[in-house]
Amino acid sequence: MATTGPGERRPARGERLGEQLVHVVRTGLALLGYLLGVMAAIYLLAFVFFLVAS
Amino acid sequence: MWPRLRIDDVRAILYYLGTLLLVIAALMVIPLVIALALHEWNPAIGFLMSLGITCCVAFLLRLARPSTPGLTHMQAVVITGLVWVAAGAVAGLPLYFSGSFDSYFDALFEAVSYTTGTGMSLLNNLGKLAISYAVWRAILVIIGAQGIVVVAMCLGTISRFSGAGLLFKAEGHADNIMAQMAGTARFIVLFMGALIALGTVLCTTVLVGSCGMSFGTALLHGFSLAATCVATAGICVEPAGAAYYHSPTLNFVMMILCLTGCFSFALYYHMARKGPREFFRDIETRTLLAWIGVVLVVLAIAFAGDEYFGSLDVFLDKGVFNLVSAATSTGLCTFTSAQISSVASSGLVFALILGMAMGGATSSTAGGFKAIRLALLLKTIGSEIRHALMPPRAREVIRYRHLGDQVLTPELSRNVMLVVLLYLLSFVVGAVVGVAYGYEPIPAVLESVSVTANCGISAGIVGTDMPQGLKVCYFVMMLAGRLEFLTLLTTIASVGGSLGHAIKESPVARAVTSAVPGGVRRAWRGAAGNDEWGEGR
Repeated sequence: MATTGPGERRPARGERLGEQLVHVVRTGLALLGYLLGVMAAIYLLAFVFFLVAS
Repeated sequence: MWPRLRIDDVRAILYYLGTLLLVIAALMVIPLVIALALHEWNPAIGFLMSLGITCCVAFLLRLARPSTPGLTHMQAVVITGLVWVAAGAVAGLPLYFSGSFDSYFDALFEAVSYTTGTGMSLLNNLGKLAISYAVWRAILVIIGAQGIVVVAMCLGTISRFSGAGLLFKAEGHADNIMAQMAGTARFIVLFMGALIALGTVLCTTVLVGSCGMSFGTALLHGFSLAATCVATAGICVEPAGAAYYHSPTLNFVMMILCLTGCFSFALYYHMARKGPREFFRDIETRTLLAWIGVVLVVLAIAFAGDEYFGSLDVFLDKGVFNLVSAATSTGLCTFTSAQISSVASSGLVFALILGMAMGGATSSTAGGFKAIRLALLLKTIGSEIRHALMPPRAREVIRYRHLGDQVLTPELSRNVMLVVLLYLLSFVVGAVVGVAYGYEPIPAVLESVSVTANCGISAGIVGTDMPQGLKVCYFVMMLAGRLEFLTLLTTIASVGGSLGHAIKESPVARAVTSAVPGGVRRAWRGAAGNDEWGEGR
């Protein structure tokens, strides 16, 4: 999160909340992407392991 | 000397126990309103009676107001240990009044199974259960996953007392996400609420679109599935469990929700602060994913050699779903109990046992001995091997990354080994008791691990016809697993020790002691090591 330097305008409460919301949504989407990636990896490995085992 | 509870301790414990029970009473209003709205009169009467009894008990307990505010460490541990039993006792009342159980203990077992996130059921009329009861089951699962203390802190019932933080830690919440405990509790409740809401929308959409359910039914099933997946509890509205829906899309959504619930909530907060890449840098995430990989290998070998399930499409459908369900300690299963106990190969059952044993991450809703403990155990073993090869005076600092950079101290290593050992001991004890009651060894081991790790996959041993002794054994194991053993053992030790002392000091015991001749008493003391139980008299 950006901090306020000397002489910079302190963002309004609404701006800060908006910035936080964007940050939370971005983190949530990243998490969803990771979990989808984990699931894809599980399916891929399951496919490969089964073929090797049989 | 075992620490004993004094009268002030007992008063504080009873008072805060009553306060926490009020939270359960408040939550009973939700299914009561639903029962009234849906004209389910018998359940409504059951909930009303349960609410009345719970409020009476809670207010009676609160009469024992302590003279000093705040809590000591021992009081907090005992309250936490007792509140899980007390909450199960009152939460089981509506279930008992439903008439679905033969005895009150069965209803208590059922309620504790929900609150501990185990999800095993003694109900045999699940499909005919009223909607308000289905909602109550989901609520119990959600409370249990978050922790009764967390819910109470979030509702503001206990957060204003100075000992609330001790209660929070005694409940097994290792990571303090925010500076204030109340803030942490609020984050856990809000985050889990958001996940369940999102999960409900997704599951309902799939159930309406793919399974052709009506909106009302789909909403009930969707809410129940989302709650059970995020809480990694494994209860289901239908007796057939997850196999009832026959929907690969729904299975996929459920697997994502289960994974979300089994990773650390503290890690999610850490990701929001330090960046999403912290997810894969965390040692716990890596261990959990590696564990899933190991179980996947075992499961693939077992499926490939299985006569009944040995095809690729069955493996990708049933195998992967049950793997994720077991490894996240959710316990939703697309195999029936009969298939697990009689048709499935021993390799397949072993893979499920392996998956269930570890559970998920700390600060998550999952059970088991947790991935971080396995990681730290392996690090300790590695360090000991390196230490043996180093010069005698060499010292090594073991570092790991979990919510930032951490150092593995000898105390932490000892605690990790102790907890893992207690879990393994419980697995063995449960299996031995099961075998002693005449069950086959492999199903007995599966059931024991499932109960201790609060998973819920069953080989059919848990049921209404289960022997009473085994029921009590599993009841204790569920609680012990949820509280990670030490809290429950401390509660039993302090309450048992205090009761023993009270009996010893009672007028009857004194009269019996004084009736015994002095010579016999001296001889007994001499035989006992001339020490009055180390009390320094």
